Amino acid sequence: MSALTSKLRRDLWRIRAQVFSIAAVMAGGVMTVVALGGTSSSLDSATREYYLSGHFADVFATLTRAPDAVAVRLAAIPGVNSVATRVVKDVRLDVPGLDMPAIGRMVSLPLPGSGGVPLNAVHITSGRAVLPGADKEILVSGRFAEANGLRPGSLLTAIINERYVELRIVGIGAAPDYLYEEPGNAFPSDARGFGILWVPHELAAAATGMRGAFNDVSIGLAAGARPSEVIAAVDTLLAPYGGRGAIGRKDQLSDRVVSNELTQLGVMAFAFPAVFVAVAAFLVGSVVSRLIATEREQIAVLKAFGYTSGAVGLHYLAYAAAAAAVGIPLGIGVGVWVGRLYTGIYSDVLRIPGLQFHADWVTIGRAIIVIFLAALSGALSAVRKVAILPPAEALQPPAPARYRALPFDTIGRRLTLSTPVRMIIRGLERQPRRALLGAMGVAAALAMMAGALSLYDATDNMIGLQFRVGQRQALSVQLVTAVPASTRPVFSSLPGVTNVELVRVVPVRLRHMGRSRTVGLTALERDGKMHRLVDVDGQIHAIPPAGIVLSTKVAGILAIHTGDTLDMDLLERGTTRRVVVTALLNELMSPNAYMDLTAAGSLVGDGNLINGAYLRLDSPPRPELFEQLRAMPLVGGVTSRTAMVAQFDRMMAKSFRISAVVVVLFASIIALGVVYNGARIALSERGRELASLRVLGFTNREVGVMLLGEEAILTIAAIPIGWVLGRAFAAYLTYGFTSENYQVPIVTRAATYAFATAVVLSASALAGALMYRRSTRLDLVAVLKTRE
Amino acid sequence: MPTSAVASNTAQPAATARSDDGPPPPAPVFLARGLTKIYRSGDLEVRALRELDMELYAGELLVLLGASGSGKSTLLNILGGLDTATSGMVRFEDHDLTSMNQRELTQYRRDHIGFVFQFYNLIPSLTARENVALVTEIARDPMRPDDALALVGLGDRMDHFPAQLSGGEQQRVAIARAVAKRPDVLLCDEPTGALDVETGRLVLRTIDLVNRQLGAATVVITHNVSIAGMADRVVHMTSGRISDSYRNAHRISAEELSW
Ligand SMILES: Nc1ncnc2c1ncn2[C@@H]1O[C@H](COP(=O)(O)OP(=O)(O)OP(=O)(O)O)[C@@H](O)[C@H]1O
Ligand SMILES: [Mg+2]
Repeated sequence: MSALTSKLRRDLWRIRAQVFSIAAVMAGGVMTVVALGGTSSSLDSATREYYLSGHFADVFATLTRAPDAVAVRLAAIPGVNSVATRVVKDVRLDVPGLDMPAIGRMVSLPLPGSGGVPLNAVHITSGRAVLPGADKEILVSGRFAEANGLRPGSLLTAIINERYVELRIVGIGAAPDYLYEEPGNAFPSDARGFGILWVPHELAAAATGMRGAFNDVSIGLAAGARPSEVIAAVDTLLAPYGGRGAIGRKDQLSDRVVSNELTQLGVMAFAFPAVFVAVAAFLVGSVVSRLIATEREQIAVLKAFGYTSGAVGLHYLAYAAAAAAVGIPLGIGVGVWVGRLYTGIYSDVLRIPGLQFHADWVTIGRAIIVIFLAALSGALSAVRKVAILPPAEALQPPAPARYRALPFDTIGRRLTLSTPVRMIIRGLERQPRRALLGAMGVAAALAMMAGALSLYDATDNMIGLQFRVGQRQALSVQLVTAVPASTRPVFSSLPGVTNVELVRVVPVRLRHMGRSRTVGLTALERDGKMHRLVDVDGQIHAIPPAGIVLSTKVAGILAIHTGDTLDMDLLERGTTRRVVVTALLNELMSPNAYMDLTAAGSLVGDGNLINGAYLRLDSPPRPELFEQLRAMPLVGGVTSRTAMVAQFDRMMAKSFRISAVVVVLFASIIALGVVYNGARIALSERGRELASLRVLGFTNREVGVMLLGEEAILTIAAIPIGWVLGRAFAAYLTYGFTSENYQVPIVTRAATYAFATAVVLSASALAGALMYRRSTRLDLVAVLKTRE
Repeated sequence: MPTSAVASNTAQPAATARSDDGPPPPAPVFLARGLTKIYRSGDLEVRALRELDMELYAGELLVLLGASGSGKSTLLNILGGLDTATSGMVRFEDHDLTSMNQRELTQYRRDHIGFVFQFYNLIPSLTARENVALVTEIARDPMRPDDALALVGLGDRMDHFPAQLSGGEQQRVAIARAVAKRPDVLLCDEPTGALDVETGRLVLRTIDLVNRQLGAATVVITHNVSIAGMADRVVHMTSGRISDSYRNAHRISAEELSW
């Protein structure tokens, strides 16, 4: 082993704590890339593969009813490669063990031997396929089955055509168009209350009276076809059949949710590693340049004896490489572990067969290169000094640091600062760049933690606005058909119900100046107390007596303003009405349109009809209530707001636990690394000075103050910076969470920032304490024997 | 232990000191008996001090001579509370240094001792005045930093940083810093070691002046025998022991030294 290698080995061992602290920060960078990037690519590739093998369609349309012959005309549209028609209908289910009536989305399976491309093919994860001719056998979706403990062989009761029909589950399935199993918005509902039922075509057709007809169509495009052109042609063709407006993949709920998740992961997989990489580069730079400063004479001797600048330079770069060599495998290890946990959370929500965490080696490779380059670039400027240092000059002590009386001194004198305080301030003034970078390092730790945790506050706030301010009903009841508003007493007489509000949701297409958008028009009671219109700021808006209220998103799509008039196609009736936009609502979840219930009734022209009711209860729902609801054939399904919120909270709590642990851990590592190295370097630079102070009779504590004062000031100064950056970081992260369907306003919660601050301060204090202990062991006598 | 016994123990009885000045010898500021210091590293053992006895009297200027490695610095560091003896006893006035812990030694240095070292050990980030103020801020009855600097002849360089001062000037700042708290004892380890003859003389004159004006008992370690003339008493060390000790009948001023 060469002498230089021995030196490297011993020195690495001597400064192992510093090297390890840098390695830990690098590990953080690698960990976030591996975990977030890996989750993202696993999700992406599993989805892609599944879309291919499951023949995920490109265009989707729902309609009221069209004869099977229309399918042939759809297939003739230029650019269309394959067409699959289905019958889809929500039916009420009685699930064994679940007192609440659930909703099953009945989706017809293709007729056996129907040929063509099996679009949105159902993949059987357990059990078996439905046998040809068996009309009471079904497949159910995974999340619903798991939540209710359903297995192949279990029985379900569905209410079809006002008759109770017993269905036998023969298998658990998944399909590319229902990776995300939700009834119709991007918000996860109670998993027990909604599931997909894939049923034999015959059963679905009989249940809906759609023999020889369909109400749902999926279209596969030929290579090179333009989705927008096909969509336009499909809309024209289906308009007479109550077409609701065809959509491409990006508007398909399940795919949209998957792509939102991927966007979020992408944002996070960039933002977090960036913080770590920057901090790592800074730490490497400061540690290596300090090392070189203390070893000037050794460098000179090496050069004098004929070592090349390159060899000596490499020797110092090796410190950075050593940190990387420890940090990278550590980061990969932790990253794989965290990535598995994250992917686990995703697979609870997104049922993608074959979704498993795979470390993405391309991304990891890129991360390793970036971390390596960061470490090298941090070390390089210091190492350049080695190369240009002439041996003779290196043997001279470095020019003494020149201190100047700075503007602060004049103020300082007036304030009669004590001398130690002046020393601290001069130290900061002498190396403003280093001081600033150090403060930024601590601020980054704080910002990362505050920003990441704020995301949960933002989600919490969103849920609060949506379900504690906006929708305050205990239960929502969906009816299978529209009934007169006079049915109200049916609901108000149910056990435990204290209040009833009626609602009607009408599928409409809104058109304005050649633009259009299909939405569910929600007609509410104007003086309702349960479902209220709430904007992003939590402000409640009254429903105007006439006209329509639009989400700002919808208004944007239609390029419409308050006071304008739009055309409203009633999709179930095939007629059109004109209606004035009376207000816009900037809401969290969109797109929506609202009207007063009575106004909607007279506009549609079919009297005062409703198809849903909100119930407020005097206590948690009683079994009798559900029993009676189940006994009402009119009831299509019941959703419980409390169950929904509880489930969401559980999911968030799980993700929060992982994120909080990871974020707190790594933010602490950053803060600890920055402060520890800062103080360690200060101690090495000023050990002699501090020992002299001890000789002069200063106590350990007083010397400790002088040693750590700079770091303390930097840390304190870093805190407000960290708050500001944290908010910016939160804004960037929530930007990743904002989609067409919901926005997540950033929330700055004092408790979160206080917690993040406390963690950073504790980590800094720990680093300070370690250094303080070291400073009390200064060798007073040794320092007096040597010249600096 | 009675003072007379201590005095009779020394090679050159203190009773003969300053016989022309009249007053009886004061009680010793320092009293060391059987002082031994052993440095151990692994199985290697270095006996830096061997059963050394000595005393230092109030107001006295003592020059400590001896070959390199004879234990001068070790002795000075123990007297100054920077280091502790392996065995034996050192008293400062009525405090037993050997029984003090680190904290008490710090307090002791703070209250009683002024140090001057070969390499100045000034704080580079503080001006001359502030280097002195550093000590006066924690002392019980200090001079004003400006007065201390005037005393060493640096009244006009008070706002300069160490890097802006010559070695001799830096050393004088170090002396001002050491004396500004009016120490009972001034301990100087090769204060002229890094300086040329002229500057060295200036520094010694400053030490001499401070010793006379403030009456601090002073120990000066040097390799330069000719400096011995400025001492009240000269002590020679050899291999961790005092091998010789004598009083100068006449203490000459630093200007008169020749080397
Ligand atoms: N920390 C230490 N570890 C081991 N031995 C030491 C240590 N410090 C001093 N010594 C040894 O103790 C002996 C006395 O050292 P000391 O520094 O007191 O000598 P000195 O008389 O001041 O010499 P010089 O005139 O060269 O400064 C020497 O042999 C020295 O090697
Ligand atoms: Mg010495």
